Amino acid sequence: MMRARLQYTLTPGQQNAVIGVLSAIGLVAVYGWAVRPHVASLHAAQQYAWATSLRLDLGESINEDITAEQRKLGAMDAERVAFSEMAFSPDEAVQFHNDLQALCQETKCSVVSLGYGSDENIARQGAQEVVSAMVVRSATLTVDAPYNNVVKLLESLSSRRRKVWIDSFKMTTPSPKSDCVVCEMTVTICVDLAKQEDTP
Amino acid sequence: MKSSVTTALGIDVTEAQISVVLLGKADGGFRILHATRTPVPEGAIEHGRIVDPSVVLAALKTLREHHKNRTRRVALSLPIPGTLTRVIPLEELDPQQIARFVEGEVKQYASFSGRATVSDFRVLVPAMPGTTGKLLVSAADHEGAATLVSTCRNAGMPSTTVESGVTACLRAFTETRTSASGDWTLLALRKDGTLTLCVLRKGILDYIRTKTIPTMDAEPQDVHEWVANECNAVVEFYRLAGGTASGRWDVLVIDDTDGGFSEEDQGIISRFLSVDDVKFWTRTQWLAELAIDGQIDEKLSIAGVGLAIRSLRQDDHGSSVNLLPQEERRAIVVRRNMLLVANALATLMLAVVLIGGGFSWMAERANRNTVNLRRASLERGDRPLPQAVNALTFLEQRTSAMSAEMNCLRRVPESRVDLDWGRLLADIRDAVPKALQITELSLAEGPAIQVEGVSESYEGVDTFVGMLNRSDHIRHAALVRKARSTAEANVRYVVKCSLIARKIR
Repeated sequence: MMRARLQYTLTPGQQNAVIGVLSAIGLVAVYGWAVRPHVASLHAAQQYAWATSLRLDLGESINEDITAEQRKLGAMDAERVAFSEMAFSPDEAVQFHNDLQALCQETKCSVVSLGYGSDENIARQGAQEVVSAMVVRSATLTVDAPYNNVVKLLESLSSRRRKVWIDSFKMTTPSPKSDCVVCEMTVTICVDLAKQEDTP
Repeated sequence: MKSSVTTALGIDVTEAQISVVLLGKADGGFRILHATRTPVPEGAIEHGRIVDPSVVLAALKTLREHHKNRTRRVALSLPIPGTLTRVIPLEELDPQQIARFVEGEVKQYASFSGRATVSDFRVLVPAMPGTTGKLLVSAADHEGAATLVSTCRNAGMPSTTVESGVTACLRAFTETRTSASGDWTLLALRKDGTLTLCVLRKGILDYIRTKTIPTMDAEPQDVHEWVANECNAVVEFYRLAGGTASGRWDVLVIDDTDGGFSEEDQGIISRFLSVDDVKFWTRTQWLAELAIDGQIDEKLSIAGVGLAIRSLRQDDHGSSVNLLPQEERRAIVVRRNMLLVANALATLMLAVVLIGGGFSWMAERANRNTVNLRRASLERGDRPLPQAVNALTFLEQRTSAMSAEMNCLRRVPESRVDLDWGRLLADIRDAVPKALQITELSLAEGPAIQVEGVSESYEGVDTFVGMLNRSDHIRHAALVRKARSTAEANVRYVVKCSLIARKIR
């Protein structure tokens, strides 16, 4: 029996084309299945490393800023503590004003007049909105006493543990033959309202 | 084209023995690297066909063990009785028509009747319009050739070229120094129990006939006389055919058998030959004509050398027919392609493994670097980023608030004069001369104090100013005014003292 036999033959060019196409498909498949996941993994790892490095650099920079801020804050805190040392506590301020007349008597100065001013918050002195417990308290004192007694009064005011400022001072001699002088002065102290009572 | 092959193996298979020649290239010629042979048991190969392939396989394996070279160039010759080699006239011009013509010619031979054949041809003289050309046709029994090729392959010597022993010997002859001498050359090749007569006209093959040497009841002298008569017949035929063949004839009798013609045999043949010049080549004699080096076996197969030369020479203009069966050709191509594909796949796999490994290593290194960075950050005591940002924000707010408060606080002492009032007033008291009196002392801008008073003399005022300038708390005392009025006898003065403020603690 005759059997019809089909023969499929390819020319060398067709064979090369088939081999080329199959090779290209194989290469693409191998790249997709074997190489690309590794490439993606490497890319992800590099991106993660880059992001981590960036994050750590940022964190390091912020930590350095924190250290600098802490240092600045510490310096200001020390300065404030030093300022607070020369400020009166509220109780001390009351006591100081109460003791002014007694101090004058101690130094043999006659008190002509003694007036108390209102508290002035230091925040009002600046343009900024500042919350502070520090206030300035003034008292106006007029005494009549010999010159040396006035000197003693001023020395005793200056020698206190807390700071006392003489904001205004005027001394006049009532008469040429008198030994006494009339002295008007404004005594100013700083009061830290937040300060607790110190042990003397 | 210059060949890149450096070694080649020729396997000459006859009914009596199998010879193997390993040939290598040398400067300007060839070098025999190895040559050996082994007898084939009687009956294993009969009439050019393998009867017992296992015996032939064992013989080939024995030969294979003798040479260690793994050359891939292997040429194989078929036993002459099983092959057909002819030079036939060619009238066709179209190569495809020539192939059909050859196929038809081969089928006409009674020895191949009814059997599948494998054939090949080579155009010796191309046919021109009005002129007949010459065609070398070689054919063999397909089954015999395929069996021998597969046996060689199983023995570890896969052959890519198969031809008749006749064409192999012809090639060996064309490589010799005397191959081109003379207009007419008659080669009488005794091999494998046959006598093949070849006529070369100016080096181009013109005629081939193979006949079985009669051995039944024949004396050796009768055989030699028969050989001479066959040669004479061919020469006579050519002389009668045309005037051009009447020139000088060189006859070369080649004996490619182990025995070879003795000098007595050669004398008998020469006596009966009707030509002037007769040469005899035996296996031991012909090598002197070939530019070949190396340790030469005395019984080196001429066909084996011719086969190996074919593989080493790419520019072979001799009878380069190939009787390798078509399925073997395809198998070679398939094997070669499979090898190529396997190599390509292996290379691809290696590349993929290397690339994948490289990428994995790089990714691992990147991850390791990341871990090291994080560890170093932890060892430094760095806060995590969100906490650090919150802490920084809090600190900045606190610093800003405190800075504003401190600015206000600093302004408190800066806006006031801090004086040592007790010492200052004591210094002023000590500086007052007896004739001078202070009437008013007030604090002024600067910081400064203004002193007003009266003095009995100008000198007193000057002395007072000079004494004030000696004070440690007065930077500079200067007289602003001093004058004596007409109503009073005293001098009124005004002195302004700039003060040295205490440093703010």
